[in-house]
Amino acid sequence: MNEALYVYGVVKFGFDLDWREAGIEGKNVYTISEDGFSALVHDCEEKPYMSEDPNKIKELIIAHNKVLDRAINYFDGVIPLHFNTIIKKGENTAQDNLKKWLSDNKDRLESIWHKVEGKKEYGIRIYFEKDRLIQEVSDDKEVKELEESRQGKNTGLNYLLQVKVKSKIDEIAQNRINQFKQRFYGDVKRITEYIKVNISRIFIDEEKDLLLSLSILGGKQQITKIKRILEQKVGKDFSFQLVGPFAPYSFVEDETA
Amino acid sequence: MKQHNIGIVELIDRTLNKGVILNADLIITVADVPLLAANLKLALASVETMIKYGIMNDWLVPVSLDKEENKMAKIIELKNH
Repeated sequence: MNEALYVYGVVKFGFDLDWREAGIEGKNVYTISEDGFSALVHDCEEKPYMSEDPNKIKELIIAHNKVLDRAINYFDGVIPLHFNTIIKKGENTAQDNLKKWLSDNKDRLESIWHKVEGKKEYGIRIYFEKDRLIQEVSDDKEVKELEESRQGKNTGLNYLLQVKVKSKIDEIAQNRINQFKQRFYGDVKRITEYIKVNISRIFIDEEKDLLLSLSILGGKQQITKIKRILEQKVGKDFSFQLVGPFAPYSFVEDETA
Repeated sequence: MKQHNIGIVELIDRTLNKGVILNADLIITVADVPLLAANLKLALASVETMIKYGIMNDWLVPVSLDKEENKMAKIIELKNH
């Protein structure tokens, strides 16, 4: 007998719904509502969804997110819960426990909803062409002067100057990168106050060097403006990828309720 | 790695590591989430090792963003280790 509830997320109360076979492993997703908020749930056993098979885990995660995607479009927002959030029964039923939680956390949910309503999360990955940037910096006036100063010097001094040249190239390249980061971050922040630096647990091999990974939260118009900025900023040294939309995971993560 | 795959990686990362966490006695807690992430790494052929991470970390830390952002990045970093 199913005695627990798997909770996908919470939406501002709309009306009861029944999404047949829409959930993880084809479970029926429905809402449990209390005090103005509705949790999207399916009935389950009192054990987490686990698997040794990575493809199965991927399937579970995608199914979890399909429900959130549907909710975000249907309710114009969603408060995503951590994957595998399962409410079990105690003295009361799981349903009663969930209702109590919704009621006890009404103010906090209201505050989060205010933040995420009408918005979606996107990831921005900024890359730079390291070799090209280093090459460009090598043509810098200061670097060239240092290079020229090596001419006619003895081996020892020449080596020291060579180290100095390399150090100067690194310094100038790092300054340019930092300036770019600051300018880009400032430009985006002027459009949406919701911007976070991502430090991912999953690392991937990409052809380019990743300079910065960000999460942003915004409405349609804000995202369009940010996309425009990205296109303007992209040059021969920098490029970007905009991925999403996602449920606003990064902007509710500090909200332990 | 293709853009499509990067989208999936970003989705998986968010789903496993972010979202509201219920802090209640009646919730089944999943202390094994990092294990799930470890399994997923196997599924994603291009996921790199932690050694690679160490190298990339220097470039990821926003050394010259404003103070608030630096603080936030540090918090995230601590949370993720």
